[in-house]
Amino acid sequence: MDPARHTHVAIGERAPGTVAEALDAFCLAEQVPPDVRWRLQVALDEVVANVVSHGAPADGAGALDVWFRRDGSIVEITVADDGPAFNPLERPARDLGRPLEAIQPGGLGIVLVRALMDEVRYERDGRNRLTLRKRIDGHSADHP
Amino acid sequence: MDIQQTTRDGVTVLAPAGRIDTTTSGRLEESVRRTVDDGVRDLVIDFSNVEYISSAGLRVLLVLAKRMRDLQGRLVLCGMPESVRQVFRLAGFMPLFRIEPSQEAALASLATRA
Repeated sequence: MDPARHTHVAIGERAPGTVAEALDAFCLAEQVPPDVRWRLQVALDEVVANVVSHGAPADGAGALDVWFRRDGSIVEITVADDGPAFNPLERPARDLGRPLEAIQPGGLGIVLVRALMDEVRYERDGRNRLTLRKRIDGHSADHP
Repeated sequence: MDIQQTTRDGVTVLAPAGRIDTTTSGRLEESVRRTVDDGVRDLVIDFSNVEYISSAGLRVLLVLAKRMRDLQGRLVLCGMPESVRQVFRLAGFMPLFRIEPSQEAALASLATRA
């Protein structure tokens, strides 16, 4: 696997924009096609927004690290933060056919991330680490 | 994000422009809350000028849809660019809303089903 690009960002209102710029630079350098790039942009925005909302450690200061890798047809992005342990994947995957009254407003972000990516993995090693994986082929017709 | 509000044929139309994300969704939430608090029961939201919607925006729409249903109001979404439509699809939101291609079609659907 190629060495990862790494971005270190202070947790705050500007974090989503900064990470989005890093993703754009990565996608440009790695020639990630627009459909996959769009999926990565939306998914990563959800993950970073969630870290900004909940991922700051108790002392208020905090940072998140993002690693971007491409290995052949696989793009992998890992986001690490120092917030309290939080595994968003513990929330059960949602049945998309449910009626309005059965859908809770919380957890929509992770529903989207799961739908956008091929694989989402959570690890805790003193930090929260969420890894997103997406194959580059096979989705060329499935994007805006 | 700017939100334009107009009234056409007795129907209130809200047209947000730009990105509806964590940073801006509060403005949309406040705008729809005020509109419904003011007694509006026929509401169209026109997405023609929305370039991006995140789950924060979806959350606002979900809460609005539930409130409109409880008030027996009518909510129609329209003008969705493909990027917005795709987020709705991935979140399983398409069946939850009445969605029309254009503002004209949205107003027409409210007129015929009054």
